[in-house]
Amino acid sequence: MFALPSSRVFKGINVCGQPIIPVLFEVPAYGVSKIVRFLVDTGSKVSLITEMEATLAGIDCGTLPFAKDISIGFGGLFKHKTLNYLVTLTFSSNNDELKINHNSGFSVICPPENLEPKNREIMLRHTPCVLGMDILSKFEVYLSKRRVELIYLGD
Amino acid sequence: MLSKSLFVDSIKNLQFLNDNYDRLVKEYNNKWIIIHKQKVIKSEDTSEEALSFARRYDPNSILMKYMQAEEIAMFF
Repeated sequence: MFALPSSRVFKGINVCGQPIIPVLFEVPAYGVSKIVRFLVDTGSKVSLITEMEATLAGIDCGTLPFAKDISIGFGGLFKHKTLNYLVTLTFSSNNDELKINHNSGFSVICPPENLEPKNREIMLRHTPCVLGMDILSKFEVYLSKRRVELIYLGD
Repeated sequence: MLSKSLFVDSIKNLQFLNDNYDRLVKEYNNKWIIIHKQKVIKSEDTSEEALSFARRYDPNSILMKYMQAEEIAMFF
């Protein structure tokens, strides 16, 4: 007989119908260390932060390069920007911390440069930071009205 | 566990938003709000104005949110 390792459970909160989990988002190359509230989105392949959140963290999105790949959303095709540095995501619970490194190419969603100011504002208002399956695949994910839990499965 | 307090503050602000959402969305409809220590400390019309105000604070201590009473369908 041997004891099973205790589960590494990280809890979020359901805010107005959206499962949200706070994660410490760090980019050592920029000296950035900020709690980011991510939407848990199992439908998204990749994780991303928004221009608003990146700007608040102290990243000048105007200097970021565009990613090589094109993104697709319900708004159609668009180009996103990318952080070509190590990003560390830290999950926290009452008695545990889990660090996941994202080695390069973390996505930053910026409104297209040719967008009208009115539409740019609308995009900034409603686009969330997203935790996608590139990170969520490391967890069992439980989502309900009262429960937002990520249970770490290990690498 | 240096980051622990950051998480606690963030969860408290999120919980405040969630617990008071109905009231806040009526009071601040179509405004950006900035929450600090479980209180709304500022409301602004545009993201630029909200960001400008938010920069006065430690970004880990605040929550910025656009409040809109009208339902909007979001697909991600």
